[in-house]
Amino acid sequence: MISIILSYNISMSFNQTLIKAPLMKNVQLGKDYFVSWFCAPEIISRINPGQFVMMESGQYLLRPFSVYEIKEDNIGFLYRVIGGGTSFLSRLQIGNIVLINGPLGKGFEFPKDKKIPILLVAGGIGIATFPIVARVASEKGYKVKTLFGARSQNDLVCAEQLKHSGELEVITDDGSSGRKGFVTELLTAELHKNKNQEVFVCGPTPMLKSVIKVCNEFGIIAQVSFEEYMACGYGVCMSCVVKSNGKYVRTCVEGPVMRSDMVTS
Amino acid sequence: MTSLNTLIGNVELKNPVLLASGTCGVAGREFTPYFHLSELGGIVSKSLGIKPWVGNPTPRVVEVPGCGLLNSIGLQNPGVEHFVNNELPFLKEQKATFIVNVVGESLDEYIQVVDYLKNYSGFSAIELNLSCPNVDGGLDFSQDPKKAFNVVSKIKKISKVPVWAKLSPNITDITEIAKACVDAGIDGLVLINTVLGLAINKWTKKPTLPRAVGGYSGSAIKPIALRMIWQTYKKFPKVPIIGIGGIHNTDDALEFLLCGASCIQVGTANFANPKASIEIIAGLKDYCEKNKLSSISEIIGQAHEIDSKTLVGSKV
Ligand SMILES: Cc1cc2nc3c(=O)[nH]c(=O)nc-3n(C[C@H](O)[C@H](O)[C@H](O)COP(=O)(O)OP(=O)(O)OC[C@H]3O[C@@H](n4cnc5c(N)ncnc54)[C@H](O)[C@@H]3O)c2cc1C
Ligand SMILES: Cc1cc2nc3c(=O)[nH]c(=O)nc-3n(C[C@H](O)[C@H](O)[C@H](O)COP(=O)(O)O)c2cc1C
Ligand code: FES
Repeated sequence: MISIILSYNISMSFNQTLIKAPLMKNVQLGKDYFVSWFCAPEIISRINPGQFVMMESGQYLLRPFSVYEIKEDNIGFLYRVIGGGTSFLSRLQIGNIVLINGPLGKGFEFPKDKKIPILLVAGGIGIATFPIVARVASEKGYKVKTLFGARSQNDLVCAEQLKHSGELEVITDDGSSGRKGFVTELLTAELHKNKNQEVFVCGPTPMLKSVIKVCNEFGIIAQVSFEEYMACGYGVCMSCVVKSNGKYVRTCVEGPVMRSDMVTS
Repeated sequence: MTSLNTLIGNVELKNPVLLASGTCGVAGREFTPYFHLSELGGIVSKSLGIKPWVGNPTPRVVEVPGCGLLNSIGLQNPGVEHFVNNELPFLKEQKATFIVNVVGESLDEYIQVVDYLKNYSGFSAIELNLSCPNVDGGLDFSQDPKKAFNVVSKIKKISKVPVWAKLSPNITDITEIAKACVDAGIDGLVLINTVLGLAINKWTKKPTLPRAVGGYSGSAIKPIALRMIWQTYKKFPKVPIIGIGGIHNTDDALEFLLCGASCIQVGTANFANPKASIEIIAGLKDYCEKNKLSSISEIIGQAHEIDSKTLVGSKV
């Protein structure tokens, strides 16, 4: 049984909580990829797909991770091991307890009209935020399609799962799976077929820029999940900013999901 | 019954734990999911200028593994008018004790901000940020005793509430600046702001932060803060000291109080634990009860009592 309660965040109305959560399970998905599951019912009841948490990871600061999926009382985070924090998490033992602050920020907003299809565009580990988005959207009756660009076949984590919630098209930098190329190529082809889609984007910053460029060419405003360096994750330090209307705004509070026409940098 | 009540001059605090400027948003609103703001000894606002400040480009922060972080936010703030209209009513409603931190690019700007605040109530003191390392000229006021004296005496003349000065550690002798502030009639000395530092990105072969230097904060600067408080308390035992720098837990806070700080501020520790301040308050209460203190103020400066007898070579 999978359950989710949706509660939409209005700007500056915070609904997160701070808890100590035990690790329930660590699952390795590929060479450097893991999903860590924690028991955190207090957080689960508040989640909007696209939100993130700050998680204790054995480092001086906590680390931001998107909510990947929820299953009953457990919340999962999918990550790639790239440094001290992610390596610490991958080595946690069942029952180890970490501090989790969340859910934080604004998630994706589904279109009012259920006939508008949702197009998910992921680059690399940006895919981590989409399984829950895809599932909730398809449960609500939207048609969902995911375009996933990764370095190679080994980086195409959670592809099977995404297929449960809709169509999936992949492309890799080296051509080891799907076509060889970048996800913007899939996006261009897709938008040529149908422009009237709600586009959700998550990935590394250079990829976000190229995707926004394509969307602009089609006159589409996308919902983009930004990944800026976050020291606090809940709005108190001003480290995670992007430029919007000439002002720096916090991606941890006003984002991470923001409309592509609102951001200039 | 133990009391955590604390007096900083004639500013009354429920307990000696405040949130530090720049580490609690503009005015602490973001902490409301975790505790009630009135539980704190006080909250210090982000440094506020007469006009909004845009701030520096990103990256603005880099972690120093195990030690703390370097920041170069560039004092992004919405300006004092926005604060008065949007945050002050909220803080009154929350019954929070509030300190307004003021910054200016010139003496004139400091005066303008305090002049503007004169017409409003709802805050207990003004904290002058004489020491931001992330803007041009930001350190002038806390590296030049004459300038420090000048700004403090001018502000003292116009402010209706007590005035504290927040000093920079980026100076050879902290007591020279402290003396200038004391001579100008300061009501409290806030020690310390961030320590100038730098990080290099080995991939780009360039400094990590866009302005190269940043302000170092967190665990690593605690000994520096304690040393400066020690020196200042020795010279000016009657001037209240507000201690800050790398305080993460009750033990850290106790060190500062014993060293001579009358109260403390929690800064960078808020980032990894939004409840750090509240946990310290509970810890101090516990400490008082276990040690049968009637008031936490009994321990302020206690570390100095044994000084002349036991410290080798100490002639201060
Ligand atoms: C809103 C948000 C959601 C994220 N979701 C996921 C996710 O679901 N799965 C995933 O694998 N990764 C995610 N990330 C990136 C993840 O936070 C970093 O991979 C992680 O912090 C690296 O920590 P580390 O200690 O292992 O590596 P480090 O050695 O600290 O850093 C390695 C790299 O990660 C980046 N990084 C480190 N700390 C942060 C930070 N606090 N904020 C942003 N970037 C940082 C650094 O720029 C550096 O390039 C997300 C980032 C953000 C901002
Ligand atoms: C991200 C960040 C922003 C800060 N902004 C301000 C500020 O606007 N005004 C100010 O007086 N001090 C500012 N400080 C300094 C802190 O208030 C504090 O003096 C310093 O960080 C040392 O304490 P800590 O180690 O407990 O953080 C800032 C510190 C950090 C880390
Ligand atoms: S990470 Fe601190 S304000 Fe966004």
